[in-house]
Amino acid sequence: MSADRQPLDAFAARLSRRVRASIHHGAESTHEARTRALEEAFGADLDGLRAEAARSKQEVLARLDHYLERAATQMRAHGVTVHFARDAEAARAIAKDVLRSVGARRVVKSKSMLTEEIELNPALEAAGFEVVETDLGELIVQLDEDRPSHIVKPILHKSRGQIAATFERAGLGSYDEDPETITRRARRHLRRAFLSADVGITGANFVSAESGRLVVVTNEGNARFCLAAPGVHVAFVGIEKLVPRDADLAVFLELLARSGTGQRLTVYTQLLRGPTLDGRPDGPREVHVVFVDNGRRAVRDSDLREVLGCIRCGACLNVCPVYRQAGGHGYRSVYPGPIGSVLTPLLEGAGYADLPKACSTCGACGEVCPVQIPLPDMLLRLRDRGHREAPELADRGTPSFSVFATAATQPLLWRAGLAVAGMGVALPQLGSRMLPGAAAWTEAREVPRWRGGRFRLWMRGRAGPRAEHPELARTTVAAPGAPAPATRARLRPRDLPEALDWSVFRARLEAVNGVLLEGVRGLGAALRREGLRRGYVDPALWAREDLRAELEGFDVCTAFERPRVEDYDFGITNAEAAIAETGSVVLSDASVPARLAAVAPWAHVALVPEAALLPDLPAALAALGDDPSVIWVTGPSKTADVEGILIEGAHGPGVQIVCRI
Amino acid sequence: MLRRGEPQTTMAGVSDRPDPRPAGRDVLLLATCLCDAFGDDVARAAVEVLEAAGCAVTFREAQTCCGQPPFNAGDWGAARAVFAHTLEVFEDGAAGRPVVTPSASCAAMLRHGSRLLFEGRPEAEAAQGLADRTWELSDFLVHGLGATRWPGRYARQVVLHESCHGRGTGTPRATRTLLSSIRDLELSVPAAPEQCCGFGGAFSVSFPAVSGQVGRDKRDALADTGAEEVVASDIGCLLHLEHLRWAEDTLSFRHVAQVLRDALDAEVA
Repeated sequence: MSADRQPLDAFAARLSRRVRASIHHGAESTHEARTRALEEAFGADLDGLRAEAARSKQEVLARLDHYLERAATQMRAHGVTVHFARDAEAARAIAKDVLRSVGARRVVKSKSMLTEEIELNPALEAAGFEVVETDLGELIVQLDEDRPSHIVKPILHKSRGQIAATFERAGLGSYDEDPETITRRARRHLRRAFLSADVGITGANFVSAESGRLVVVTNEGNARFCLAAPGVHVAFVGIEKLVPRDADLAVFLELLARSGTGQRLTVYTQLLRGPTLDGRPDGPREVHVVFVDNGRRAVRDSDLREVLGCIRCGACLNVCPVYRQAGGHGYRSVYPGPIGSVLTPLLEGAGYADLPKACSTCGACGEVCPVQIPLPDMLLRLRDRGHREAPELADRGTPSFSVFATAATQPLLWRAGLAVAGMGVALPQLGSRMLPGAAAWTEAREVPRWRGGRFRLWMRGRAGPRAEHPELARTTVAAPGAPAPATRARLRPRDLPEALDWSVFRARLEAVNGVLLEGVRGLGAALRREGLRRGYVDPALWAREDLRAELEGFDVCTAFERPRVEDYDFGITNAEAAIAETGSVVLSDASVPARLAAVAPWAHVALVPEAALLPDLPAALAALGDDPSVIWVTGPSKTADVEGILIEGAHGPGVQIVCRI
Repeated sequence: MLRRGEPQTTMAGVSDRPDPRPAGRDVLLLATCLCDAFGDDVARAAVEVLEAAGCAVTFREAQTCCGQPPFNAGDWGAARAVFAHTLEVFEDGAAGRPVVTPSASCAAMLRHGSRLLFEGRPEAEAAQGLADRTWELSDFLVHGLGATRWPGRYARQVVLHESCHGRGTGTPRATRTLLSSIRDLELSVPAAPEQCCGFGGAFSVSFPAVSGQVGRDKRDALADTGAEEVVASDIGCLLHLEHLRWAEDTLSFRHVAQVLRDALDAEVA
């Protein structure tokens, strides 16, 4: 037996009680929210939807080059420059080249695990660029020179006290633990970064090969800012992020937010295609997409291909009993938890051959994965591989099974062992070697009483079988019938009323703390209640008599001047449509002439024509059209990065009002 | 590409369709190595429970272990050797009898693990054959024999720990069906029932800190229900939970086979 401890176990043993409790609580409560949300929406249809999502992903992986080419062609046709990076180094080089070519100095970044994987920030900083992470959690990670400990909730391991100290150190205000204060300070601090940045860098959650659209989802609204203020957008996308068609996005969007955070839909779902319309003041005029391989093709060609279906929801981390005890840093990798224990050894090699062992084989990860990745099987396969290829690391602390295997293939030896180990006199070490690891067992447990061979003695020695019980001896089951016909799982959430009208929209919007007004009546009063006096109104709307009357006495301007961004308390814009299922409004570059006006002010008011109600996500996807930036806005901006406490108004609006006109 | 094995667990439970595995009342018992070494009463109870249900139980003395411990530990060479022995022991001709085991974990090894172990190897067919006639005890009683109501009585407050290796199989539902039908048995479910006990075979040895802490969290959740006794369908979970150091509760630990047997005994008495 190797005497050394497994690195993750040693890490977990050193973890403070407070950090462990914080991780455990965060993971557990998110898992519970996830389970409730999926159960309410899909019940028994869930597995069918997971299977459908898995099929989409496997279809892409089976014909990866075809779909990549398709997406790239679409992107190029819409003015996007497409790059392919074979590995991390190539991706970093492309980033530097693009940044230099546009004369950039400052970069704002939205959260992206891929850019963590390719270690983009240190490379950009070394090349003289200033990089600011804008997701609240990622900002704190950056200020602390720390690493994210969760793929969705990067600072699950941090307490509000630690965050307050970080902010104080970074000069963002005196020590204050209040999560709302922390969030407001980050908002103010990052405004300056957004507005002075030359380039916005994001990842992508999905890419539709059919249309070349990138899907980027955030709750805080930081990605919207990254794509509103800077003039250049660079997106880093793993080659496995493709889905075949726009319509396929529906099932993924239904599953992603519910699996990740227990939300119906993330607050901002951005569906992007190319530079903004000509003559617009905000939004990128230049868009680059960097498809990154970095080991993915090799995984695609292996027997663990299905792992590339991962949509990075974090559900497997949250349910994993080992993750809950060790937290993300114990995995020494960008991707922790069960998905990380599979991905990391595949992408990073034998130096991580121990990770697949950090698992009690409980199978919970396989049960929650929204794309049905058989993680439990993969972890076992990688153990076999680790044992063969990197035993010094993979087998650390693992008992040897050679004596056991010898005994277990020779019944006489086995029975002798059972007896001798029980006597504990003649050959005490034989029993403990037949049951490998008996010594290490006692670190956390007492030794159970040895009862070796007793069952066999009883079985041989008894007079006869126990009598049948009259109630049990003749029960029967129906013979196996024909398998039930396969029915397609219902994508439509079952907690959704039959008629998808404005009353459903209202209920869904109010469920995420948005406000629906009939016409613009009451808008003035609603803004006054929030203490909002000055704002922007889309010039096309200012012609409306009713709006002018409502805003009597307010300080209104119809041009959004960037230097005065903090002077606008509210922004009033059109919306293309509304989505009943989710309570979302659909913004586009065509309907919103100034992107910043809809995201920067404390309140955003969207005027939606009554006739423009889309019933559900499939309808909204079918209506995407040609606009370069379609954004589904679902309630006010929010974050729960500080100890899981929900704070509204992270980077985007803290108040979201919809007027049905 | 991976071949998919067991259906994954659904939130709503497994399908209501009848199980295609052979049932019948002439069965082979896989007693398991842990019962051989520590759990003689569990194996005895399994035999008596099957006999009470009208089964003729054959115990083949040559059996040892199904190979799961080395399989989970990554030593697939050792696991293949041990499993090959199990294949030999349970070889039973063309119309093979059902193999029943009082362990969700060993059942999972026979039903699913062996497919990974022997993928693309000559033993794959034999392994599949054994998989197709293997049952965990409760699953067999309910879905194989149709015993949906268990007679007798068991006057204790019991909390069920759903052993992880029964996920996605008929075991969890069968166990709940049986236990909740017993007179005077008060059944509760702990918070976070999907959480593991932390045992995991060799994992408990190579990750003592994590394993121990997961076990203590589980034991707290079980004790918090106010139940007197923990029941599970795997002796591995029970040995681990029962012998944790620093446990502060007074829980006792029983295998589901023991509860079923004791319920019958109470009726006779």
